[in-house]
Amino acid sequence: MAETPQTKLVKFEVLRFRPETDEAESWQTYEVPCPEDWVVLDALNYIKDEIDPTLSYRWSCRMGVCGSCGMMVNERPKLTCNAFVRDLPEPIRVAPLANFPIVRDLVVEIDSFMDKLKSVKPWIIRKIEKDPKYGEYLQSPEDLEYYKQFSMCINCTLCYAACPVLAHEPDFLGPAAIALGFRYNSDSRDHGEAERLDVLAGEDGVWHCSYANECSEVCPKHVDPAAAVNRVKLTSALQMAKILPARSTK
Amino acid sequence: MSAHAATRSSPTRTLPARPPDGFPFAHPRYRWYVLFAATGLPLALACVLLLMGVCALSQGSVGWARYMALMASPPMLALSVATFGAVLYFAIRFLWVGRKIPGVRLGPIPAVSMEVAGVLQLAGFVKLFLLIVVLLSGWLFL
Repeated sequence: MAETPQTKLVKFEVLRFRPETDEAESWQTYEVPCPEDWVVLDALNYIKDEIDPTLSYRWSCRMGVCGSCGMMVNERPKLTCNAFVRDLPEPIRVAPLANFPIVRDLVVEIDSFMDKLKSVKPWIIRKIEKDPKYGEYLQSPEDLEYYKQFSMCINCTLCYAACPVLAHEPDFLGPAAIALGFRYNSDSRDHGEAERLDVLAGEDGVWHCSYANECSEVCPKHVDPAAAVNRVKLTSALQMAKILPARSTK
Repeated sequence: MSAHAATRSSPTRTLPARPPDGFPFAHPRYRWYVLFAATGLPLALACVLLLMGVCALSQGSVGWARYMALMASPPMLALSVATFGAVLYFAIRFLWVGRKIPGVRLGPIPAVSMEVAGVLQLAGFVKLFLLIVVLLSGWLFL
């Protein structure tokens, strides 16, 4: 674990929780020799491989695509595969994502998020499905461009960890689910807007959002969920006032 | 499915969710957000005072004079200044987030670009602000 000319010894503080032995979480310190080009995930992998094999965390692609390695890094939600060690002040504190129950160490339980995601019906809903032999549903580049930004979400849940509303109202639908609902509502091939609005503008929906904008600040894919939330607010308000009809399967 | 179904119980023993670090006062970004939420307080008080004004109107000239004297007292003037600040901050932050809305398509109306919408919103806000200033000036000085 010594420092070499190519590496720098960096202090990491990692939040640990082992459900079989620990009553509460606690910080554990590690010193990691980090090369210039390492990201926080590389350091966690080093800790697991060379220092402490009991450390648990999620990761997969290492290139900011899968959304598995989201953690609180120095108190901000980040993809650890995207957070360079050289850019962070020491000690680097790594904790599980906020606003989610902790399963073990840096692993959080995302069941609630998956349920919320499912509740907005993130799939194309059609009035009448046509037989595939008649070809695909066509869409213009302009129609694609209209929702493309919101389809870039990788479900990393960083926006949920940053949201101050969710800290107080765990049932709030949350930024990513709303952005995904808006993505399908904005798809020219879809007719399910009215069904989704029941959830999006319902009891735990968009009206709980109070403009913190933290979700958009931390989004690693620049989805801008706050824009989706506020657009859903506008469309649902107009539809409630019967000014704008919602696309419906009925 | 209702989003309420989201809070199902887990078979695994888990630790409760931690709030975002530094929430609500340790980071400037959260302090500004809390301040935004707190703008509701002076606005609520201002509403109560306006209702008191309506009641004073129904009590004739003596009641109205008493109300005017109350409103001219230093604490009430301080509250008015705080209310004005709160409204201004709320409007600025609302427009700051509101600039994201115009990209939406509304039926046959084509989506306006965020840049154009931002300029339009700012122009509308300045116009409204100037209108209020002119009206207040007229009331105060004419």
